[in-house]
Amino acid sequence: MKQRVLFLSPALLFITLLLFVPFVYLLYLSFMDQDYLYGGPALPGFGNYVEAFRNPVYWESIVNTFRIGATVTVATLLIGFPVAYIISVSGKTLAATLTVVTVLPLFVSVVVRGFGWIIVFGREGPLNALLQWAGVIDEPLQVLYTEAAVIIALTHLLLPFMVLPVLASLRAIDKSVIDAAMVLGSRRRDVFLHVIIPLCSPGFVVGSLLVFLHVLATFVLPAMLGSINIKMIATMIYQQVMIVGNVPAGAALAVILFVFTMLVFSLIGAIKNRLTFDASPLREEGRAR
Amino acid sequence: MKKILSALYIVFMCSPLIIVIGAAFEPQEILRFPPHGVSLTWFERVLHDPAFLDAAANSLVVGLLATVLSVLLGLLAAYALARGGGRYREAILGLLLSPLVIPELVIGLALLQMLTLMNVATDLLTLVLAHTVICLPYTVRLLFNGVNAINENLESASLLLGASRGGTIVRVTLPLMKNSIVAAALFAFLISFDNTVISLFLVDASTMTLPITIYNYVEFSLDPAIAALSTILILLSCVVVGVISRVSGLDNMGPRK
Repeated sequence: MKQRVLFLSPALLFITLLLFVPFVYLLYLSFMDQDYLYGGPALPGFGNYVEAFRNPVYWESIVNTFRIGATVTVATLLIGFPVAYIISVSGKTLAATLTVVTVLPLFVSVVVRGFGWIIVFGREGPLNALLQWAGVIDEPLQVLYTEAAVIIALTHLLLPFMVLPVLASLRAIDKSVIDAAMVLGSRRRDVFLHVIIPLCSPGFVVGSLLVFLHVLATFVLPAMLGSINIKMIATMIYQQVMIVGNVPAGAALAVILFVFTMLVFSLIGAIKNRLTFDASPLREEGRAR
Repeated sequence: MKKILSALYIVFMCSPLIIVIGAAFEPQEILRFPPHGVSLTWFERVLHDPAFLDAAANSLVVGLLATVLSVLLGLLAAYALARGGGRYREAILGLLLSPLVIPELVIGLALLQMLTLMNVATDLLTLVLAHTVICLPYTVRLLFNGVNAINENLESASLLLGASRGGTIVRVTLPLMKNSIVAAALFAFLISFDNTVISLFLVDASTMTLPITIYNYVEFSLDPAIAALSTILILLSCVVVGVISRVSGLDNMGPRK
């Protein structure tokens, strides 16, 4: 017992001093006003929180984050489900290739990927060249620094978080259920719509929540590809703290971001407990931010 | 249909990386893909640029120290949690894994404010400590699985045959955990080496890391130098992932088990 405490205390002490204490201090700061850090009196209040929902600039960043989150979630669903389905029914080579292509980008720094998209979306970049060559457009499109650029890059970043849970659900489906439906005379299309899709709904739900969770806190890609045009919660926090110098306002937004994150996590937890399925991709949180 | 969809997906997933690699070989000072020619000029320039070299050295030092620290803390905690059993095990594990559920931006901001409050200047050490916070959940998880994968009878046998607890840990447990320790260390290194958001709050001009250098650079200029640097980073990531999958098998690749 004594040994156990001795072994555990360094890590616990470390995480307490470097995470829990600073977080509590951040919480404290979020109730102060802007002057507090410049020597003003400590006058706790909910002013920053009221402001976060009242001030159109902050409110816009919250609305943008949720809208972009919803769009990216739908996009990853539309691309991720077919891909997961193809992986689950394909032969070894194709399945392995698709899995590697899904997983490998996770290990490449998000800054590098953001830089890649800057080249892709440039006025003279490959995307515009392709569209012009195909005759879709005459003049190069301004894609970089628009919401579309951020959405495409986030979809690329977060696809693994959709593909992996959906794939796990698909693999968990008992093949005899499908056989039974076939034997009883269902058409392929009906089996797909009424057996396969309902059975992998846990994968859909968890995948969607994971994707949304990451969009909530995403910073690097909106900052690189949206520049100042795209305001999201995370970029707003950074701007308030590091550029405007209004730390308490940033702290309040950070606490709001934390609460949103916790809400999504508890939803994931509730679903995980209600439905039995492989939750392993959950362990990947944090990688993509 | 299946083939077309797969091909489109592969192109989409690979395009930003392939394009970065391609643009790095451009001979002129223009960022474009496909490159007009093949040249190693930009690689040469990156490898001789003191700003990039300093950033690489910082990233390497911070990565290595954060790896050592998070593996040591993780080893002790994982062993106690796996073998100690007892009450509060789930709760303690939850606490140690909590950096995963708190947005990195919030962690970085909170740490920066705390340091400001205590009048501590940000330097390489504070960066190492901050990175260790986010590496720790990964090492704890991987090493916890590593200890659990060991047949406890081997340790019992060693104890029964007269070895001390400490001797058993050093001569039986640790050697059996070799693969999970290597995997945990590589994972921690990659997490630290790639980190952008926490570093953004905690670096200054003298402690720039590679991701921050890239991030700042592209804000002001776009030339193939960053493509060359990014290419080096992509190759490095591939090597580390390859080694991880060698030592612990792709299926055991830590979080993606």
